[in-house]
Formats: sequence, structure tokens, C-alpha cells
Amino acid sequence: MMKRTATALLVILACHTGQAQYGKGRLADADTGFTPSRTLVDSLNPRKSPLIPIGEVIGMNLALGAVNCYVTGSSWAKLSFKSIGKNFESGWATDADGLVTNMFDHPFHGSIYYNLARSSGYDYWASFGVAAVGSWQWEYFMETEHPALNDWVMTSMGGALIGETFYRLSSLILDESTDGIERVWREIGAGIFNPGRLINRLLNGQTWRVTSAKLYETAPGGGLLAFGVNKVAEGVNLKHGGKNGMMTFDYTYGRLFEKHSYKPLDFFHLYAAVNFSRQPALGQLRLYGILYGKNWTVGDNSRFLLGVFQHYDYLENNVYQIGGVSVGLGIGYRTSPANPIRFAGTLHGSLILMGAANSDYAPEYKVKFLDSARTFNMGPGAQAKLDAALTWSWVSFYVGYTTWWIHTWAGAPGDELIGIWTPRLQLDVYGPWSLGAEYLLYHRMGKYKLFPDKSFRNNERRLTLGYTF
Amino acid sequence: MRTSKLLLFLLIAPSFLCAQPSSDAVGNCQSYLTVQGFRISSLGVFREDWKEGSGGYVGYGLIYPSQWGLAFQTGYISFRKNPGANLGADPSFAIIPFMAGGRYYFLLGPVRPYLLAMSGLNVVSRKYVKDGVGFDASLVKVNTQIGVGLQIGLFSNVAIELAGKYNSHNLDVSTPYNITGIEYGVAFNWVLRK
Repeated sequence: MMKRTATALLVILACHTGQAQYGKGRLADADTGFTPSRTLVDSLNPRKSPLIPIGEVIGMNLALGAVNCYVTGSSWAKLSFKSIGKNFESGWATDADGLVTNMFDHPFHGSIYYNLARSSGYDYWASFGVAAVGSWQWEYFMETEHPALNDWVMTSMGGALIGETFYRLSSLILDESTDGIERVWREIGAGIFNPGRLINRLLNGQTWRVTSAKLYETAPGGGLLAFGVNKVAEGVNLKHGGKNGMMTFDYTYGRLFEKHSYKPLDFFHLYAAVNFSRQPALGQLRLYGILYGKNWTVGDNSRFLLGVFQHYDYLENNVYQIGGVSVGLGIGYRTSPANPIRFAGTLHGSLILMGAANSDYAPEYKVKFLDSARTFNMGPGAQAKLDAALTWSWVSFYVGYTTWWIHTWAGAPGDELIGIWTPRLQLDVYGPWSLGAEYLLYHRMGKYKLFPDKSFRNNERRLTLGYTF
Repeated sequence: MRTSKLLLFLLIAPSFLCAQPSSDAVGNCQSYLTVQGFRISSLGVFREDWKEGSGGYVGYGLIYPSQWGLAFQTGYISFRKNPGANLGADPSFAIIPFMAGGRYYFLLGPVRPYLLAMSGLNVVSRKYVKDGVGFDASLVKVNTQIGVGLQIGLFSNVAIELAGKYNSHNLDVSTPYNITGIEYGVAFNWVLRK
């Protein structure tokens, strides 16, 4: 997984080198994106019948089910009409899969469903529907275990958000005016992000079509790729904890304050942290994007924004694990780009449709029909998020804070209240190179009905050398 | 007064969805009000206690030229106990559902076959005794519904719908003991905007 993530990040980096600078223009620069003519798109990439992506999704499920049954020999894949009937009789349940499977793998699986529809000519909402149908069909028909509602929510909701992100990123890479080896690499690069789109491009002959027509929407983007070390401590004593090599990738697509109105994910912010040792490989994957929004100019070209945003979070280290999808309102403000000291920030409040957090008590609650237990509590809740950057000359200060409230729906009855502070200082040292220092303070309070409450803190420090692209 | 304003807002607000800046929707979508009656044949473990149900929905819907639709519905569902089940004196089980979802219409002529998927929340009210344990509380739980239907235009502003749906409404997902069933019903639609 780490290799796949690193390859994908390098492909984006190659496509965006030299564009906007993180912390200075990421929320504010002028919009220089490209929107293709609808007529041209309809003539060269006509919308397919909805039965095609739905058929592809079901076909993919059947193929994967066959592999699970006949190659890996998984007991839960030994399907029969009886097992399907039993699933319809029981209705939704929860499963006992691990956090990575439930909160990371399923959304990525859903992104393939989503993109089979998206690359057939459908918009965000219709493609989201196809992802939901694909996941539903999998849960009810392709497993002998009862259908898991948590999987359905994560696969369809998370799949739509991650899927649209990958669709946008793959559109940056594709260029149908190229041919030869460059074209091959572009198609492969886009396919890494977006296997669903690659399948349809191969089936529709788009991978070898050469045309000067620009068919894919793009928006300006940029970010920071940083390498360095971190130290994760158990508790708040800075002396504890071992050093670990790591990499962070911080990428922004689109301009949040420049459009008058937004389609889903005209703007998104993607953050990934990858550990090289001691800690889980994927330390953080955090993504949020706009679904709908409006801007207003005030005074000296400062701007306000009001929008609906969707969020996906996956955070894991040796101390804590959190994951979830949410949707809610966000407000934003940025000062005039002409100011010597510039500020840009957003504040979000959202409903968590499905969230998960590790809990010492969760293993006490077995999933009865599986005789197995999770290491985390799951349920709905709410999330608040602050994301702000202050920039002056070669100095940038960023602060982020996210707090999650997850009400246990499956696991130890109670509530998980979790927060994470992420202040960071960034100093530009030479050209696109910068030094960064970051401190992460994680705090959690578990309030339980049947067990003693839990409360603890944990910190992480990072020093990085970054490349702005 | 405040309640009537809220009701008016709830009635009018969805019509703004027709004005979304989507190429599918600019001023072209059709909206309708619907009233539906239905029966539910329960499935699985739930059927051992509650054999069947019946009820009604009122709803509001939008149909876009791209053949996709949005639908909102609420209503009331009451279940009858299985004659063989021992649930104490005067057992009752009722649901007030609030659902939103999408439809895909295969055709947009006078006869419109469609697929639908809906989800939302149920307010479940139950009162019975089973195996010595009393259940007497209201719960809020997730509902889901997937199915097929056929809309047939009768007059210029009136259509009739026949629909069959699979219901999976959560109750206790850990057991699992849920409200599952096959729902079949008839609806009358009043077209507000063509």
C-alpha cells in the first residue's frame, strides 16, 4: 500500500511542479482552471446508459466474489441462494473487520464503483448512487455474513468523495493530444488513481484515441511534499517515544475563494502522512471537499465563503485510531491577496454518518453472529474542524484543529470525544524548499455507560524538509 | 404560526432543487406530490413476531430530464402481530419514517418504469412483552428501501404508481433483529410542475 501511495503522489507532483505555493496561495490564488465545452464532451464522450456502469459494478463484484470463493477459498464467499435469502431476511448488521478494512479499504473499493459511473458520463450524485447500489449488491449477494451497514455507508459515502478526488486527479494527468510512450505513462498514471476510469477508457477506445480536443475539466492545484522525522510519544512527556522516518503530502485542488458557485469537489484538500518504520505505514489520510458553495467579496477584496463540505478522515498510530465520513456546513474567510500578511481559513461543522475510534472496551462486545469483536467503537456523531494559514513573506504559520464526537452504535455503549491540534511553522529557505516544524496534540475522552471513563493525551513532533509544487 | 411557516418552508424548499445549476435541471424538472397506501409482508425473525404491516406515505418528488429523480416521503406504518407469537396483552409496533432518495426512470413517457433507493430515519414506537422482557420505548433508527415501480399517467396532472420494495429497517443490528419485509403499494401523484 505504501508503494502505491508513494507512486501516486509522485505522479501528481510531476504534473503540478511549479504551480501554486502551499500556505501562500493554496486557498486564494486566481482560478485558472479549464472547463470543457459540454457539446464537445457529449460528442466525443457521450453519456452511456446507466445499465452499463451498474452492469460493470455487478460484474466486478461477481469477479471478485469468484476470486474470494475459488482462489482464496474464503468461507464467507461460499455463496448460495440460501445465503442470499438469509441476508434479505436479516437485514443490516455490523461486521467485525479491522479498522483498516472498514474505514480505509472500503472507501477505496467504493471509489472504483464511483468511477465506473463517473467515467461513463455521470455527475457526482448519479455516480454516488451507483456506488451505493454496487455496495448494496455486494453486501446482500456476495457474502454469507449478514450485510454490514457500516460497510455500505463507508463504501458509498467515502467512495464518492475519494472517487471524485481521484477522478479530478486523473483528469490532470490525462492528455489525449499526446501519443507514444508519454501517452502510455499518462494512461498508466491516471489508472493508478482511477482503475475504474481506466477500465472504461480501455473498453471505449479512449486510451488510444488521439485528439486535440480538451475534454476534461481541470483546476489549478499545488502543495507540499515533505520528508523528515517524527517522534510519537505515549502521553505528553516529550522524552518518550522513538524516532521514525516519515513523509507528508499536502495537496490542494482548486481555489476556494475564486468561484461564484461550486460543483462537487471543485475544491478539495488532501493530506497524507506515511511512516517508514515503527508506526503504521499510513499515519493519516485526510480529505475534504466542497459539494456546494457561494462566495462574497467584502471591503478591500477580502472574501467570505459559505458551503457544504464532505469530509473523510483516517488517522492511525500506535496509540490511536480514528476513521469516518461526514458532511456539513463550512464557512471561510481570506484577506485580500494584496495584503503583506495574508490569512485564509475555514471552519466546519458536520455530521458524522459513520465514524470509528479505538477503545479498550470494544473487544468486550462481540458481534454475536460472528463470535468475533472489533478493537474500536463505531457510530454516528459530529465533527468540527478549523483549518487556517497565516503567511508573511517567507514565514507561514498553519493551525488545524479537528474534534470528533462519536456516539457508540456498535461497541461499548457511550461516547468518544477526540481532538487533534496540528500547529505547524514553515520557513522558506531556498526556492521551493522549506523547513517545517509541526506539533500534534491528540486528546481523547471516552465516556462509557458500563465502564470507567478513559482520558488521555498523546503528542507527536515532526521536523521536515519540504518541496513546494 | 411558527409551525405553519415551517410546514410551508418544508413544502416549498425542495422545489428550489429544480433551480440547481446543473445542466440536467435548469427549469426543466417536473415536481409532484404523492399519496401512497401499502402493505408489508414481513421477513425472517421479525416475521415470527410481526407478520405483516400496512400504512401510508405522503411525499414530494422531482423528475429531471436526465431520467433521474429525487424523492422525499414520510408516513405511518403499523404492524400486526403473528397469531402464533406470545407478545403480551395489546402489543403494538408502529413506525413513522422520514426518507429521502433517488429514482432512475427507464422511460419518461406516459408509462414510466423506475428503480428506487431511499434511506433515512424511522421513529419506532413499540409496546410488547417477549420472553418476559418488556419493550416500551420510542427509538430512532436508520431505514433503507430499494425497489422497482411503474408510474402510469391517467390525466394531465394525475398519475398512478405501482411499486414493490424491499425494506430493511434497523432495530437491533448486533443480533441482528431488524424490520425486514416486502412492501407493495399503490400511489396517486398530483403533478405540480411539468
